[in-house]
Amino acid sequence: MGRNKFEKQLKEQLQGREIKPSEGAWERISQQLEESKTPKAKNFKWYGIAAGFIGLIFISGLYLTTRGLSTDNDTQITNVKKDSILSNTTPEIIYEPKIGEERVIVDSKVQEEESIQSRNNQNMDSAKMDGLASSKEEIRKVEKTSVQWNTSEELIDTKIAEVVAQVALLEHENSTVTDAEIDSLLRGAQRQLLEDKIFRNDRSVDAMALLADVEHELDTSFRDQIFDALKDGFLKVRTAVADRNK
Amino acid sequence: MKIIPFYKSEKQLIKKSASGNRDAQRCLYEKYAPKMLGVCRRYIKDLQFAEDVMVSGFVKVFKHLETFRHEGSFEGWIRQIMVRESISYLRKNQFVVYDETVMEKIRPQTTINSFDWDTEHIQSLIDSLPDGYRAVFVLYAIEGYKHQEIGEILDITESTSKSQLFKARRILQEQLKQQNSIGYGTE
Repeated sequence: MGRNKFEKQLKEQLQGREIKPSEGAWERISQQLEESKTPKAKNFKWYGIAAGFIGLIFISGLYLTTRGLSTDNDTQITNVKKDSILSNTTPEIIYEPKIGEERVIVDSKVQEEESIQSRNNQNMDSAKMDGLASSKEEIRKVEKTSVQWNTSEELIDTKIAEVVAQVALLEHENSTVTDAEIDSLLRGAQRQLLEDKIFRNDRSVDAMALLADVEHELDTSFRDQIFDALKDGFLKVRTAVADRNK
Repeated sequence: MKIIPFYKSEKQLIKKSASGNRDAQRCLYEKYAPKMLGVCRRYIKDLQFAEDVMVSGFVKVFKHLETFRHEGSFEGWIRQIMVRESISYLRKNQFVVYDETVMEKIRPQTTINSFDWDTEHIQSLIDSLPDGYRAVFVLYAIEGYKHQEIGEILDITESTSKSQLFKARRILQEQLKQQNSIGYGTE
């Protein structure tokens, strides 16, 4: 069903047909375009940009704040290797506040392993070390004690000297000094030493020293352990006998 | 009111119009409005309603002008929008194209080789067709759409489009016969 000649002629005549619109037609178009021009879309765009900027500022502020806090506590802890233990020096606890660097904590286990490896490489010192500590735990204990006590040998000496001087002063004043007074002086000196170890100069707490102190307290003696085991066993036997008699 | 054509090329005019320049938009409107009203009038009998459709068509043209890619003719692009706007208007006004798939037996048609009628007379002939037939006839015979495209535009099957065109032609032939007999006193 193709287009016939009549339809072709119709097409030619109708396609060239033009009708002049009324005068008000353009005004209506213009009015509708004005109405449809929604300022909301533009506003949303600007709101989006503004929100983006605010978000960026907020995130950067938060980031800088957290970094500022972390730089205050930037701590680099390195444990003393075997050589330093043998040479009877204390493990280094280094506090290096550096801006722009994240906290670096050197894993003590890794350091211990390294120290063991280096120990194996050194023939002379290894014999001595093997005698002192044959396992990691032993090395840790050595480090702990050295952290706890060896760091403050000088302090202890000065404190003892202070206590002796105070006792001498009391003897000079009262001619007799009771054991209770000497005990109280020693206790005060001990407390002072503990505080010196745990608190740093800026009054912040030394985590390692605190841990070492607490762990020392936690260590129970072999005798205590025996007593605890006996106590548990006795309670179990007593409960079993009571249950059987029921 | 005469618009001074200070835009050198149509492309420049379109770009200005797309950016919302009212003068450039008016230039385009002045250039294409008479032709587009003619397009709308083919589908819609009432000139006032046809103008309404043309106005809403131009609003759409200016709103979506930035989507025009300058790949085909700009006039063709506007014409497409006007045609779809006219069909949409007909749909809103209960225009129905019956989905008839069975074509009637084709009777031998009277062939009219030429005529000497003015455009208004031709338009009145087309206006006498029912809405559904008229839409298919205009889309096929005047706008040059294929049956498949007509089916997509009117949401009917291809065979329905063919059937509607066949019926539209038959009605037109009947009317032409009558007018010839009246005009020339034959038959």
